[in-house]
Order: sequence, then C-alpha cells, then structure tokens
Amino acid sequence: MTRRKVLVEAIVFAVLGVMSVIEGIRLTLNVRPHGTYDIFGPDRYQLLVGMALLVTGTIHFILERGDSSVPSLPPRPAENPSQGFRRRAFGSVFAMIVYASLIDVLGYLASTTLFFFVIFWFTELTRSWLLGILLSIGCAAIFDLVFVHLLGVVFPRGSLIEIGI
Amino acid sequence: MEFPLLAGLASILHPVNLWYCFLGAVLGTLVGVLPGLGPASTLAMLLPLTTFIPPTGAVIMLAGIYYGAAYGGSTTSILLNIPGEPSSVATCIDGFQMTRDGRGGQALWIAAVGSFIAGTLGSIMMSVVGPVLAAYALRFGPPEYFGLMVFSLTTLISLSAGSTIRAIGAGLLGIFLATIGLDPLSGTGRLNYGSVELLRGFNVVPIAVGLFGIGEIIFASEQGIVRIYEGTLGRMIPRGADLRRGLLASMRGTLIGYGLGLLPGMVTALTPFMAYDLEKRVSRSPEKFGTGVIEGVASPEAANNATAMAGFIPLMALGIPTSPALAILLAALLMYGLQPGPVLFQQNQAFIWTVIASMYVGNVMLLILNLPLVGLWVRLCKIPYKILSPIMLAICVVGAYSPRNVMFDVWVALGFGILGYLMRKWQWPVAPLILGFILGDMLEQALRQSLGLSAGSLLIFMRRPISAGLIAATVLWLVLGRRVASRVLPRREAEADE
Repeated sequence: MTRRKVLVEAIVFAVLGVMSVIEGIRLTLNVRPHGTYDIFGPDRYQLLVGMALLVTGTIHFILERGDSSVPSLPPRPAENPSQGFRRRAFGSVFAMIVYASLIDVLGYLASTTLFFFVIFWFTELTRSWLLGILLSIGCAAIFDLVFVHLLGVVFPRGSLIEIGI
Repeated sequence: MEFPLLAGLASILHPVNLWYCFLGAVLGTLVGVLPGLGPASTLAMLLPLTTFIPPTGAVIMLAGIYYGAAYGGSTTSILLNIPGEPSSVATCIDGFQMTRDGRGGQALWIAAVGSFIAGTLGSIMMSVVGPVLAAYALRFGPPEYFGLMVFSLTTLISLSAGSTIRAIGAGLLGIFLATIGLDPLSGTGRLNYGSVELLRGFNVVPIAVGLFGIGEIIFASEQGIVRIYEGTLGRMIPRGADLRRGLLASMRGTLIGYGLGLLPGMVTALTPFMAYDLEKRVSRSPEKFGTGVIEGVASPEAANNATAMAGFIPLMALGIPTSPALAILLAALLMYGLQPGPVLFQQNQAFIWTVIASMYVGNVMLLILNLPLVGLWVRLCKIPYKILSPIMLAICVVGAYSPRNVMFDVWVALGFGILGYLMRKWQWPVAPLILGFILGDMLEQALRQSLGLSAGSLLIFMRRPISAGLIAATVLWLVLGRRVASRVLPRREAEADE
C-alpha cells in the first residue's frame, strides 16, 4: 500500500466530509427551526455524517500511511494482471463510456451494435472486421428484440434519428 | 384453523409460479457456477427486468437465484478448485482433493444432498421462526429499529475482510450517498446543487448494478481463463461409513450455518470456514482434513446454504438485510410496494407464504437439477469471459436504465462500476457501502424520530430494553466479532491456498 494511494483515499473522505459539513451548516442557517417532532433535523444529521467522514479519513491516513502490514483481503488472481487482461478491463470501461454517450445520439440499436463491435475488438474475440460486424449486429438485434420489443423498455430514439439524419 | 403454508404450497404449485421458481433455481445455479458472477450482481442486473412480471413471481425468481447460487458454487470448487462464490472457498480444500482421487462424483453428491438438507431445514425454520419474530417485532419503535440497524451495520463491518477502518469508511460512504436528495422526514433537498436528478436522490438499482455488476465484470476481465480439470467423476453415491459421516457432517454444518446466519452481517464466506473448523475438531482423524475427506465437503456446503437461508428471516420479519444480495432483494420488495417487516406477515399473507413455500419447492428442484446437469455446468464454465462480459455489460445498461427510464441512471451505474472496480483493486470492502446506502434512510428516520420522542435525549436508547440490549450487543460484537473473523478466516484461507 503506497503512501500516495492512502493520501488520495483520505483526501476523498475529506472532500466528502467537508461537503457534508457545509451542507449541514447551510441547512442550519436556512431551514431551522424544525417542528417538535424532529428536534435533530436534517442539518445536524448531515453534520454528523460529515464529521464521521472526516474522522474516518483522518484515522485511515494515520493508521495506513506507509504501513505495508495492513490486513489485506484474500488474494485474487487479478491483483497482478497481465497487460492483455488489463487492456480488456480498460477496453470494457472505454466501450461503456462510448456506449452511454451514444445512446442519446444514435438510439439503442445502433449504439448497442457499436458497443459490441468495440468490446469484441478490445477483447480480441475476433480480428476479422466482417465477423466482428456480423456478430455485433446479431447480438444487438437479440437485445433489441428481447428488451425493446418483448419487454417494452423505452430507450431514447436518438437525436440524430429524430432530426431525420 | 388456518394453515397458511399449505395455501402457499397450493399457490406455488400454480404453473406460472412454478416456472419462475424453476427459472430462479436454474439462473441461481448458473451464477453460482460461473466465477466472477455472484448472486448480488445477478440480482442487481435482473432486478429491473422483473418489473415486467407479477411481484410474487418476481420475488420467487429472485429468491431462487439467491439460494440457487449457494448451491451452484460448490460445483466449480469441487471440480475445478475455483470457488464460484467466496462462500465456497472452504469446499475447495477437500472437494478438489476428492476429484483428484477420482471421487468427484461423491463430493458433488454429498454437497448437493448437504445443501438440500440445509435448504429444507432452513425453509422449515423460516416457516416457524419468521412469523414469531415478525409478531415480536410489532413491539419495535424507532429506538429499537435504530439499535437493530446499528447492530447490523456493526456486525457486517466487523466481519468484513481487511481493515476495519476501511469497512467503516465504506459503510459511511453509503450513508453519505443516502443523504443526497430529499430528506425522508421533512422533504428538504440536500446536496443536490440545483440538479433535478440529484434532488430525486440515487436509486439503489443503478448503484447495485454498478458496484456488483459492472465493477465485478471489469475486475473479472483482468483474470485469466480457468483451467478445466479433465479427470473422471467416479461413483456418485458414497457408501457405508462415508455416507453416514457425510450426512452427519451436513447436519452439523446446517446447525452452525443456521445459528450464525441469523446474526445480521454474518457473511456466508465465514460460516463454511467455521463449520470446517468444527468438523476438524470433532473428527477422530483431523490430520486427514485437506486430503479429501467427505466431511470437509459436506459440512461447509451445508453451512453455506443454511446461512443463505437464515438471512431470509431478518429480511422478511424485520426488514433488515444481512448481505448485499439480500439488500438487493429488499430493494425488489420495496420496488413492488411491499414493506418487509412485521406488517408484511399480517397484510400480505398470501404473498409471504407463497415465497416461503417456493423455498421448499426450489430446494427439491435444485437437488433434482444439480446432479444430472453437472456436465452442463462444467461445460458452461468453459465459455470464455470475453464472450460473457460484453453480454453482461449490455444487460447492466438495460438494468440500470429501465427502473426510471433516465440516462442519468446509466451514468450513475457506470460511475459506481468504476468505483466498485477501484474498491476491489484497492482492497476496500463493497458490501458495507451498499448496506449503508440501503439502511441510510431508515437509520436517519429512526434516529430523528427517536430523538423527537425523547425531546433530544440520547438516553432513550438505553431506557428501552430492546434497544439497550441491541446497543450492548453492538459493543460486545465490536470486541468479539473481529477476533472471531481474524482467527478463523486467515487460517482457513491459507489452507485453501495450499
């Protein structure tokens, strides 16, 4: 466990804690008083959560900075992944971000086809363009049939399709 | 005289309910078999899609997935030395040795029968204890519920693997996330910064889909493809002394798993190790453990299933989930407008008894399905993850989107997917986060209502016997639980690694 990683984790807790404390103060100034049924109110609860986050982040930093003997979770094979497997993981994240961005623009069917194509390419399922395209269209068509047509999930039609491009 | 269980059995035998029970059992076994796909992630992915089927059928199916996964996890542990679930790690120790000795069939048989015994006894206990506990819980007011939730969160945190401060941090993060949006009592907007989406608060489904679905898939994508053991299974049914020892060990494992499984936070990963430990202590030849003894498979498998079944009691009777998978099941019940807890047993008798009856039927189905289909499960393990992962990711997107039909939830799921991946990578426990998020609103309500009742005095938690008892149990558990986990887990995990 590197000191920098612990510092980043502690900073995340500190930021969230400060956000919560500021929100608690804002609520105290703007929303109080509450009724007699709610003496504690949302503001004090928010302050309490914020303080707890700050204290936890501080204790975490003090206890674990530069400490390599921190009890760890059971070892899992992915803790030392090869470059190929790491590429797969990053490829999955990249494909998901592209996918979520494109659903609004291209609609469900086209973006799902593109998602499958990108992810099949990253995971090296196939290096043939034609097979990749056919597989992607096939998978996307099955998803569209099951979720959109059979189960009736209403996805965005796609802004490009709506304006007629 | 009324026999609600008989009415429940009549209802579950309706072909539609029977179909959902079967579907849940099969899907559960499948997710138990496939490494990298746990019950929590599957429940999270499929939960939104169950909105298209009737509530009773949906909960029957989701419950089937949950206990089916506990069944299926043993197959890969025994045949491949790869636990499909963390709760099946203990089964690897002797199960895989039995396979190497050509006795894999016997190991699978005793695991299936042990699981059936545990599952059926668990269902009987649910039928008996559930209504009694629910009736008792009618006395619970806000202070008692506050004590119960603090106890649940504490036990889960203290039993999480790794550092306690990280588990506390993850739980607090969940509680913090639960505060975003409208405050549950006064309706005041919090931490929304003018955003309409944030004012509505985070929905549990995209968070669960992200943490347990997307996060786990990204993490598992880094893993290599499993090596399949190609040995023979040998005879299926053990004979003579092996059969007797195996069945007795199953009974002992059931008792341990069930007794401990009633405690909130008693994770299913821990009880199989405890059962294995006890089995070794009571054995006349403890030195043989680890070389392929039948008790080493029967007891942890029964304990695993008994713990999974025991979790239904606090969930249904008190509305308190004891594991992430059950937390998602709680979200499902809430999604259908069913509030688990004492009122559920009074107002939705037909529903609750049909679900309980489905557990009896589901366990029989699993026993019938598991052994003949063992070849199919092993073949499914050979499907490369690079084919499964894109399909599961696409299901996650639909799963996150469909409850509210907003793209914001897809982005939330993606964000929490990356968070879940980083948490696994940096050794932060994920379970306290989702439990903190789900219990966060209830915890806040119980605290504020209690303080409202006492005019702001914290002594209310000490003046009421049940809440005082629960707070005392929390303090005791803080001291005791960590010791239990640290003594049992590392030693047994070292044996599993060997």
